Amino acid sequence: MNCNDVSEFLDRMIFEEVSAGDDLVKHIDACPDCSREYLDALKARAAVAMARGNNPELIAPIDLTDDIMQAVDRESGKTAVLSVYLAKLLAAASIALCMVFGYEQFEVVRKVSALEIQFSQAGSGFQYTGPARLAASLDIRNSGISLSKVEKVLAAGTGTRLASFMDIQKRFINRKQK
Amino acid sequence: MSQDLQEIISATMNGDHAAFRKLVTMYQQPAYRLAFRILGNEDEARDAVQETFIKIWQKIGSFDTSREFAPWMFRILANTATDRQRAILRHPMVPMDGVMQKIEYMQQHDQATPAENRELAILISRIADTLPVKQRLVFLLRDMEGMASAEVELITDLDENAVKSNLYHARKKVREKLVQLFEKERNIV
Repeated sequence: MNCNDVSEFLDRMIFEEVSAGDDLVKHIDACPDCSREYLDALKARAAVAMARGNNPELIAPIDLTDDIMQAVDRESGKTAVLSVYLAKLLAAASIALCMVFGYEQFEVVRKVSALEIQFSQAGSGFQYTGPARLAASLDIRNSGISLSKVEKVLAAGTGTRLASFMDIQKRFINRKQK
Repeated sequence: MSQDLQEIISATMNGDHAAFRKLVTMYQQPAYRLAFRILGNEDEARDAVQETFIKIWQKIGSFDTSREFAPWMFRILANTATDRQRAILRHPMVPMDGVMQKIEYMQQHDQATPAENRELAILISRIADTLPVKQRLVFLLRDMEGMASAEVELITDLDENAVKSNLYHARKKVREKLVQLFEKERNIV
């Protein structure tokens, strides 16, 4: 047993509370340098242990939960705005397809709609259920399709030009039906 | 994982804000404590915890529910806080006055005032700042937070031997730095 052995084993002995063998204890007792190193190591361990204790700085501020939730809401809002924008674009594109190419494109609308849900879920963690989303999933096979509602939704944002295009289309369809 | 926690996580995965709030309330304290250990600053710790929970909210869909939640959360926190710490201009280590006497007093009286604890925590934190990233994280998790080795392995993504090795070197360096302070005081006295 020599000073190097003590140095090697000291931290495990102090931090892990691994019991030292008789030879090691004898050496520490007999060697002034190792004895001092041992005492210093004990003090270091005590310092670490005491620093571990709770103190005011280590207690989370009482308003931290509210802060976190507000931050999360802000982040969700940003993503939701993006989702709404994407949803409107997709809705516009879907309806345009329906109007231009007719009934057979309905499946396209459904697929786009599913894609849109994926977008909103991937982006914000919750399902977007706003008006553009509903507009995109309207069943156009039903004669009761409310084009005015769709137009209103689209006119409110990104689909203004498409809405006017659809208005022309609607008037054309109405004339044909009469 | 407890039934309650599983339900809270499932609800959070479905976008339930109230459930997520519960999750935040449950874990913000240990998260804040570790962030403070890593960053040594209340404001930075607060920001790191906030950033961590935003990431958790965004990534909760990818959480594997067959695993424990805490190590996953602590791993995100440790990475976030470590990244922040790298970006912060660290102050040079200023030794605390009378550290040896304070420790001896604390040992004799088996207690310390909050101010002494605070000073000691800051001192150890500054010493830990001088360690390489992995050693520092392992030391903070194992010795300052008192986590089990298995938990440390999960959070740091290091195997058992790597944790042991990093811990060995970290403890040795922390001890050496403290001893240097002890020696300095001995010479002054």
